[in-house]
Amino acid sequence: MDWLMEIVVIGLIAAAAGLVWKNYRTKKEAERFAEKVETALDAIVTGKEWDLEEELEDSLWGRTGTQLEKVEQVFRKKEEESFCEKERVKGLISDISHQIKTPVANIKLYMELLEGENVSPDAQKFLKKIKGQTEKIDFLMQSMVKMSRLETGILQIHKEEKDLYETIGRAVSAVVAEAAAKDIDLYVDCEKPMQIRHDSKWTEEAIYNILDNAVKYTENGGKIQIHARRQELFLQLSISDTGKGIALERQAEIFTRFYREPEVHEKPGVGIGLYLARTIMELQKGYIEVKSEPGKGACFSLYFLVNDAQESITAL
Amino acid sequence: MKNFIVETKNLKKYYQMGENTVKALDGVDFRVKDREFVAIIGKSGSGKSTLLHMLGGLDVPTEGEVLIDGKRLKGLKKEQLAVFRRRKIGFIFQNYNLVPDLNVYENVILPIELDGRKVDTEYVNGILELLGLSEKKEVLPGTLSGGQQQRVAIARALAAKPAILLADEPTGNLDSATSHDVLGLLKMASKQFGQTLILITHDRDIAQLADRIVHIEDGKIVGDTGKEREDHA
Repeated sequence: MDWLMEIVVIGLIAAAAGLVWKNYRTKKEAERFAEKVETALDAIVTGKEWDLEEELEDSLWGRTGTQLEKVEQVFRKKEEESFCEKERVKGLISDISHQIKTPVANIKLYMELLEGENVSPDAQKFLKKIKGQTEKIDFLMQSMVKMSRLETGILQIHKEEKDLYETIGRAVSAVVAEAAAKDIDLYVDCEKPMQIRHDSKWTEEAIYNILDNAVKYTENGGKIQIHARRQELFLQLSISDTGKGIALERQAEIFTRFYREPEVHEKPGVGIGLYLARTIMELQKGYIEVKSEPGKGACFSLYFLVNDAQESITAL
Repeated sequence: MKNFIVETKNLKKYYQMGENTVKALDGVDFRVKDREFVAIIGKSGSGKSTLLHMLGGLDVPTEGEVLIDGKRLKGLKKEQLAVFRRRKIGFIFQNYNLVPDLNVYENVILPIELDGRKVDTEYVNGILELLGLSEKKEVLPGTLSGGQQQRVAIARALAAKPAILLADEPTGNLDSATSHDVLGLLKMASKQFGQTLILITHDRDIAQLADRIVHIEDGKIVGDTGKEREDHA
């Protein structure tokens, strides 16, 4: 009866082999499935192209894949809606600010007319205050438009290989009058030309905001120095003043929206200059740093990437 | 709703040295918001490294809790903790800790491969480009400068797409010019990829790059530039 034993043994071995094989196959299926799910989810989250194969199969993957496709569609739709919403908000802010220009201009006009009339000294005082407030409204509106563009990401930063010296020059020319009025010495130390990839229009805005603050917070007869220096990874553009300086606890806060030092409450300005400057630098893959001690002036440094990727458009 | 990605509640770490109890951390309540860049500054022995190790799940507290993204680290088993750490946190150490036999690219993708995940090559190449390492992909770490090696370590931490980056004196072995450059890159990269960055340093200049500076002394937080704002928010 040996042959019976042999058959049983062979049968058992065959069954065992079959089980091992089946186990191996199942494991492979599961791995393949997990991998497909991972790829699909990753594609959905990062917005990449993704192809669902075996669409009509009733396999394990086929069913899950179809569901994931639905998820992708819902996700994309939400992204689109969010984008449209942002466009709407931006449009709204633009419209409002545009509408406000006329009434504000009228108020200014009538105030000027009033100033020309014979009014009491008290009235003169009040008129001056009204004028200041109107200018503030004007400024607020402009800032709001700029901010909304940067925030909603509709604004595009276009980086091009351009001369930073020129960009600095334009920002400086916008503060030269105010600096001269306070007898502040403005000094620029930068190679000409200083070629670097940057968005020259928005960078000018960032530099101007810092310069404007520097002039505002520096005493008469003070100094403002601008140095541009190319380092290994970044190009450093520093703007230092001999003004009142900033306390350590406030140094991070000054970059937040609407932050203003309590002392300058009366002067024009709204507190988003530095916030804008920081956002502009971040969008350009750079950053801002401040070094300061109360009473010892402040030094703001803008850092621009030296080795830059070729993409010329960055949106938040 | 305030979203704190890292939170500690009355965190304590005591060591018994014979008769004495060394209080490395003595009741620390620390909260970090998503995407914040916080610098923890303090002298040697102030407890800053201990705090970072607690946050990274590398060490267990004597008392108190650590919550990462709302999840308590306390209940987790060793393997769960390891996986959690690998997925949520990227570490950057003073000593770079690169594998000398692997080239730059291989070093950067190592944690991803160890986790059994697929490498997103486009993303990794993007990081390498951002950190100025595209030309050095095939190079061995031994031939790179200190600053370059630390950049590779940063790329490695970023590549796994963690939510939180923990850096322990990352510029300790670098000269001051390189330190500033490297940290600038780290700051910029973490903003680009939306990560929270918690950095330990004894260097005030480096700490100033952060959004918020927390001062730790004798196991307690004695200063926090973010505190005022929190109360006003």
